[in-house]
Amino acid sequence: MLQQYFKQAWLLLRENPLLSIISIAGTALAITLIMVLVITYEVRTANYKPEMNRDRMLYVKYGRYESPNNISNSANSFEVVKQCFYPLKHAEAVTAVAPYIEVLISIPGGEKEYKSDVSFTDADFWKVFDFEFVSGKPYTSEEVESGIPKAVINETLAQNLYGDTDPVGKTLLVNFVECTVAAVVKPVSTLAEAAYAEVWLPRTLNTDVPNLWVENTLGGYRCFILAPAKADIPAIQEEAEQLVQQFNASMMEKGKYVLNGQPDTHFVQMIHTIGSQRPDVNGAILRYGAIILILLLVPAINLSGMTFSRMNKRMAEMGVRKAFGATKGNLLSQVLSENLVWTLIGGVFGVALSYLAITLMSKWLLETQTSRFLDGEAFINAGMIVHPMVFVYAFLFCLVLNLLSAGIPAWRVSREHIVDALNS
Amino acid sequence: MLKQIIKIIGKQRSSNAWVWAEMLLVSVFLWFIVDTLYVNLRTYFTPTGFQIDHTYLVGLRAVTEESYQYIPADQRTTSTADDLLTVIDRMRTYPGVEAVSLSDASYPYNNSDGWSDVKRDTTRMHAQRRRVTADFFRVFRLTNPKGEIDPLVNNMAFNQLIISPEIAEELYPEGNVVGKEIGFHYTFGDGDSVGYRIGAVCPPLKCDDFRKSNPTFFFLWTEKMLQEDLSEAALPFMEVCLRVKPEADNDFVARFKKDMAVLARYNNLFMLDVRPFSEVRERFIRDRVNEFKLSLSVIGFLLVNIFLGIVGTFWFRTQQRQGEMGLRIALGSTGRGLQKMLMLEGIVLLLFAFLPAMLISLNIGLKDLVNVELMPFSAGRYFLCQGITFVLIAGMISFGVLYPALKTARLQPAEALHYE
Repeated sequence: MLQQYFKQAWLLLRENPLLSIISIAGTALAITLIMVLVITYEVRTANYKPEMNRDRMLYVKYGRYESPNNISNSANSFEVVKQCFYPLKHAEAVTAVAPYIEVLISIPGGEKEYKSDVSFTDADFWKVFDFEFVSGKPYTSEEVESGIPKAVINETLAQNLYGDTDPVGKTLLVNFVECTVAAVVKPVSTLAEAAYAEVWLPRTLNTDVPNLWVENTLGGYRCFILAPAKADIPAIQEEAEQLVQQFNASMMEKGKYVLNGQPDTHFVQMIHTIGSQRPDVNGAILRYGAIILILLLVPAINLSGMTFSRMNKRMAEMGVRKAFGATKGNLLSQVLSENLVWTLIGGVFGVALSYLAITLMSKWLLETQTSRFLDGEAFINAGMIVHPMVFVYAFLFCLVLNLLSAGIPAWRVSREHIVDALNS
Repeated sequence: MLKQIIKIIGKQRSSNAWVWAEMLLVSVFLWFIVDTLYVNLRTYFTPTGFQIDHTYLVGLRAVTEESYQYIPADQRTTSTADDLLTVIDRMRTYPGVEAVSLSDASYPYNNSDGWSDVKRDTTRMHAQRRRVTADFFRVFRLTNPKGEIDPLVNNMAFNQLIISPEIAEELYPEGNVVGKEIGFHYTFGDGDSVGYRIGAVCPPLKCDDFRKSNPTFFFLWTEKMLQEDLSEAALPFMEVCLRVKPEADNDFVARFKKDMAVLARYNNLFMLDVRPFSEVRERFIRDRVNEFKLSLSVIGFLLVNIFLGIVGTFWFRTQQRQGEMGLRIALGSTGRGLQKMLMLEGIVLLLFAFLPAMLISLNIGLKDLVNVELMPFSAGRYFLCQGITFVLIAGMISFGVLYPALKTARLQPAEALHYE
């Protein structure tokens, strides 16, 4: 039966090419825009190297200090990470990162100087994130503790500085401080905001002066926490809250460090762009939903009109089918599945077009608040944008669009009186 | 004619209902986006007050004690402030450089800003505070209302403030502000015991193209303040800006970088970076520009949908009404006449949708759901944007009717009547 409907849909399609093109173009356009949104969302939330575990990561990007006469917002001090997040028992790994500090990179006796983004990290950074190493090994926690100047650099910089991609053991100057190249990794896109940098150095090389004005709670560090599984996230959040309370108790009421709802999950930290405010998660979901609804609704009304006209023309056919015993359900499913063929053709074009749009316009579609100020490139690769989920979403949106655009006409057709239908 | 068209539209209620609903929705959405774009574009095209062509931002840093090149304080005779001033002097005399300034949270497209109160007797005003050296006005070519730069440069003195017109109007509505007293308390350095006077008035200044101008004032960054405050750790917050003569501004960055690698490498200082303000600006406003592009694509999407809807509906309709069309042609209607009739049918249909849409939009506007921060929701703004929206949709309709109408006009009367 279904096969019959599809055959019929195909014939109808060929019968009136102009109208078919219009319907398919309308569908394709709607699916394109929606899929651009979906893929953009995927790039920001899906797991890909080096941010392989975004779904079980927790983020503490901001810190807040409150005392009777001083409220300050910034990132965290290393002391806070050490007291409140390193001891987390439920976590698989915890890392402290002082991200994106602009430095001058050069080599002894070399002419070339590059302004680059450096992140200062601990050794667990390399456990939390899954970097692709071209050569060498990262610094160990003993090396971090004893402040041994070892650097991990990306392949592009290695190529530019040394002319080859295996400079392990050679000397690197970071703001005229001598370091040894420990490892070379594949470049990281600025879209992977947590892992991104061009050079990574042990955090002990970072000159951070304790800020006593805020009881040494604030500084330049972000903390990323890896949960063993997604289900452990609430336990970690609760444990972090307890550790912060203990930490605050030790300050003897001078002031307190405030988490502001953190550690955030990946989705929440994406919306948490202003450190001093709690993110409006529901509002963001509502906005996203409203945009998608508009993108679906306008073409749906459009396509409904066309489906309706088409059905009016075929009322006689429907009447005959009814006269021969077709039930309401039969007719309903006929119209819907016929229409689905059209929607799916449009959907395939739409997905193809959305990938084209993303590749051509990744610069402005994918860029984030942070990435535009960074030196590196916001590049994308297949691993970031091609996910099975993207196609599942595309199919789901096609179904919704189909239901929206053929639902009412199909319902009308199935309810038409036999005599009236035959009459037309 | 019109009466007839309304009658025809009424007769085709059921198929018109869909286009009508679509037009209603699109009219509201489109108006909202057009309004947003209009407000942003109007703001964008108001000058920022800064002239950033041929200007550059220099980043200076100091090597830390971990470096083998670090010179401890006890082994040098100069302070960090001395070193900074020496490097700035070297830049000033660099071939092709017209002016170099030092400032703090002051240049346009800046991620940091500071605010203070200025006052006259009991009238207070919260305004953006900018600490600069006098050459700042030469670098960004800020002028007084007469278009002169020099009065600003010459009046940037220790006990004088250069203020923006917003402050002048608030504190001295009677006008003639230059030389008048103004209160300003700066809590550190040697600023707070001084009685300030207004030295000159600068143009309204916007922090970036997409924002309104802020009330702002300038006060002088004296060498004494610099000597007292400046540590090597504070160097990232020192803004060194320079203007290059137009004739020297080719491949400047490459030349300057190469020479400054030596010239700016003075005691512990070194130059991290120099980049044109055009790039600083581009990065800063990029997300607003992206938003703008996104709005344009949504407008495009809505218009294409209207177009497709119109083509679809009218195509069907003219096919269904071929008998009627044939009859009209047989009775002497010309092709052009028919085309005009169909187009009018489309526009009248739009009017039916547009009028209720205008009411909905008006309510959205009056509830302040549109951007009222940059521009008040005025009658002029409302009608202009409604006008643009109407023209856009009407244009799409005319375009969409064209093909079906053309087909009909080519119809032979006999053949058309044949369908009857």
